[in-house]
Amino acid sequence: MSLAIENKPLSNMQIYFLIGILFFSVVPHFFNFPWFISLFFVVSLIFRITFISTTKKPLPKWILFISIILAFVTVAIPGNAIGTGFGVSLLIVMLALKTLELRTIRDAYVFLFLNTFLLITLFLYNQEIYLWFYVWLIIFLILGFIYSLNNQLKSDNISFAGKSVLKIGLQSLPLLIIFFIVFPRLSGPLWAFKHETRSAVTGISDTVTPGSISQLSQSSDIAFRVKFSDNAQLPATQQRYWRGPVLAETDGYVWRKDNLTINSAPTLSNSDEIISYQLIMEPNNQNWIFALEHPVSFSSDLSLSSSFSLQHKEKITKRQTFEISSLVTNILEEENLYQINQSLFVPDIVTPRLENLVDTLNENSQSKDAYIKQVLNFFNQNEFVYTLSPPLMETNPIDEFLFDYRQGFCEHYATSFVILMRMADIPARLVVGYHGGEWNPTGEHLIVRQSDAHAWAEVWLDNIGWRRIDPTSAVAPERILTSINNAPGSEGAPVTFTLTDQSFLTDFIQQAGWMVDTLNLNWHRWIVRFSDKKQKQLFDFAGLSGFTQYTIIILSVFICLIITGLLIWFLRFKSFSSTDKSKIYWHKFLDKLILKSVQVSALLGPVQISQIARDALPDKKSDIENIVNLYIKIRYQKITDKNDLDTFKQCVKRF
Amino acid sequence: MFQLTKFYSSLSRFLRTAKSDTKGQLKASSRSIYILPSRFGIMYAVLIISMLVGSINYANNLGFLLTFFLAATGIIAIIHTWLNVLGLEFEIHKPEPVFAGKFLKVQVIIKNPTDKIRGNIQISLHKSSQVLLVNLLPGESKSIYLNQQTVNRGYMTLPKVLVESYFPLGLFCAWLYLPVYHKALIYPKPEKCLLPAYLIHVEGDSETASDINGHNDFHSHRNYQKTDAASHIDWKVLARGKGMYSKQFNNNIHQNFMFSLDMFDGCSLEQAISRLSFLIIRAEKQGEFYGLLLDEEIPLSRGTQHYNQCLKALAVYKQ
Repeated sequence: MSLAIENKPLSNMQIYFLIGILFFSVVPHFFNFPWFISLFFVVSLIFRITFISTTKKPLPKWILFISIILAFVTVAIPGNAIGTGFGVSLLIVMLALKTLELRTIRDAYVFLFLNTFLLITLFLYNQEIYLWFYVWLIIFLILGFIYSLNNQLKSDNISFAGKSVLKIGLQSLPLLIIFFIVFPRLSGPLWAFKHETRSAVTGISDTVTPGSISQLSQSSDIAFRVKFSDNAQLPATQQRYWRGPVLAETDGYVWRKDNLTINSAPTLSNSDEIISYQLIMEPNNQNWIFALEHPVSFSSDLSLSSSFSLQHKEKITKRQTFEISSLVTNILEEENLYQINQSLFVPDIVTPRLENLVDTLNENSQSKDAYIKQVLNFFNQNEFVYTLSPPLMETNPIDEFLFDYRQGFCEHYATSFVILMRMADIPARLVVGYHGGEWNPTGEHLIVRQSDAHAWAEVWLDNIGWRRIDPTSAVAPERILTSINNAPGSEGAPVTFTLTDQSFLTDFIQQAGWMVDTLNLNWHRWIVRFSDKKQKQLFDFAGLSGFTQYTIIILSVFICLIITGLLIWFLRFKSFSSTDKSKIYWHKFLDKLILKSVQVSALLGPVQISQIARDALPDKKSDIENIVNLYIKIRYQKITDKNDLDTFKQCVKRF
Repeated sequence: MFQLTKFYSSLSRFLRTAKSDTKGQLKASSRSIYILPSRFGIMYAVLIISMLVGSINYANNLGFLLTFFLAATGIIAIIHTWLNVLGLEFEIHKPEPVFAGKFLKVQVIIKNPTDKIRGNIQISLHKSSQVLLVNLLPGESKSIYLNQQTVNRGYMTLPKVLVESYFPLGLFCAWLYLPVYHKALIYPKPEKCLLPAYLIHVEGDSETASDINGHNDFHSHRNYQKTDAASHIDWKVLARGKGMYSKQFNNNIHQNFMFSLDMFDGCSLEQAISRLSFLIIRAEKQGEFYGLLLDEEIPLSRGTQHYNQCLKALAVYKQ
């Protein structure tokens, strides 16, 4: 016994459909492999379509032989040893060759199964939600095709096959969810293959030059998202400084981080001020993790430098989540002489007018605090413009900015501020990171974009330690309270800020944006990063914390059986004929009559029952007559009209 | 070898077949349906297992999601395949007798009493290569004929009717066996031969028979009687709608044959029976009166009923 259609030849239409499915399954892989693999693939498909669709004759052996050799050469060119990439590219060229051999329905099955395996390899390279929907669409096309092979009743009716497959898909959802949640997850791989992904992304780097941050600010890409734990309050905008690298070394033009990082164990003074959160980093090809100032506890794969910057062991090349707790108040730090000395170094850029300025500001102030205030006043009271498109300052950016142009972005203000401090013997350093962030009310998380990139300064005050001073707030206090519009204006044009009063359309777009962002984040949190830990959390949440994993699996097997049983019951009931169904509702009607203390028996015929019921309930006479007539029509006249059954059902329900 | 055959036959007693109800209808009940993965179902399972291993190795949750989706779809497909056969009703009709070596036509009426469509139902006789595909709309019933090659004369036990379905995805096969309670009558295979020179001439009724029922010259019409040969019906009159009449001929050189096994002395029993079968067919075609003398005598007569009676007697002779 076997599938009767197994050896039936495929029609040309079916072959084109299969080739189409293969093509769309491989398209996302074009970006993952060298160009010649894509080329081989596309050429094979074109060859198949143009030369073979017209004749049904099998291909000569020598052509197959040559193409197999070509395929192996193509796959071997990259020269990488046995690895994931090798395997996937081999699968691609083999499938391309398999199209030459598509003849019967059996071939179609084998082809589609291999194609499905190819689809799963896409997830090795990309795990975004849009790819998932793309793959699912192709899977539905495959299932629809298989369905149409097995049903010649309406095989030409595509929407019928689509609807049926969609139904099957929906019916399998409950099982899918249970399998996904309950299936035990391992913490490590079974075997390790080298698997690399390429990505070119932007983000804050280890060095800052004038213009580097304002350039970054023009990108609305997401840098990271923050999900605060339930009991934590969202810190005020003024406190939302996401700390990146600390840059103390400078030649007046380029700012670099100091090479000496000591892992320090911070001492906690007051645990009330601790905010814990999840930080979901987007890939940025850097090690920096931008924690809220000041991070105190964090995942073990992170390390904290002596200047309170968090770093990951490896570069972030894919979306990753970190659990971090931060102390929002200042931390009393021990004096680190090396750092302080480094933060006093003034590069060789001092011009007479710069020296004059420092002297004037210094004369009017008695203390360090007063001097800092004087400098901030200097920024505030002079005609400084906060702009995303500052003019180019190449020879001596500090001097040119302070005296000639007076147009700049946060890095200009912060760097000049640091130099002005150092010239007055106050240790100062540059900190880069992000500031603020957009609150997504739908997902209840914070979105921090590249446009929130920011630079600020820190000064060392005796008995206080490093204290943050943001000179940008002296020039553009709005920057600290709201986020900026990241449309670059003409050179020197002041930055515009996102205002709160909005039209309906912009409001709608913003809402939709938040929705998509929330979807993305939850996709990442609950699907892509679902792990043994998450699984345990979920079981604990469901009150299953006392059970072992095996108990839970056995329990879920039972749940699966119940679901399938219910489904079978439901589908069987649905497939009953109208007559059978009418009997069920007829008995419901009899039950209702008995409840109304009408003496009827199921042994009596409908006419007799109608007589008894009408006598007992004269006020419902018309209802009873209607129901009985409908029942007689459906049950005895065998008129299978769907509407009759529905009205009969409604009448009984209403009765 | 004998032991093994015995074992198989005792095993087949445990095979569940559909039970017929009082009206002789067979219904595909849940107890009579078997279900197992098809060849493609096994391939599908291998695919899912390899996808699962890959997903575990790379701890890839999207891989898990896809794998589990396919696994769940497979399980749902089992239900649909099973439901596709469940509740179908069958009627198997007694096949018309045929000559040995010809194909026996077994009529199966398949009914879908439910509101669900039934796609690709494969119906075949057990161990036969001929498979018929049937699709049924809600409430529809269809009649199909299954061909069974015949070899020997006599009563033939028909194989079970196999009803299979791979719908909707071809991954699982649900099947059931329909028992066939009827026995098919197989007439002996006719073998061409000459009419032996000596024949038993029966004189008894010949006067009336030759006068009225003679063959050569058309004489008159008379109302059709069941014993009249089909070749004597006046089809032209019937086509004009004037009723069924038989032609009456005047035939003076008309013959009556009484066939018996003694006519073929040198032949084996089977060959003799085959030749008698041929002679009976010829005699009926020519509208002659004939009888058959085996253990019991079938008197001279003609017509379909007589013809069938003679052939049946030949078919079951010494079986």
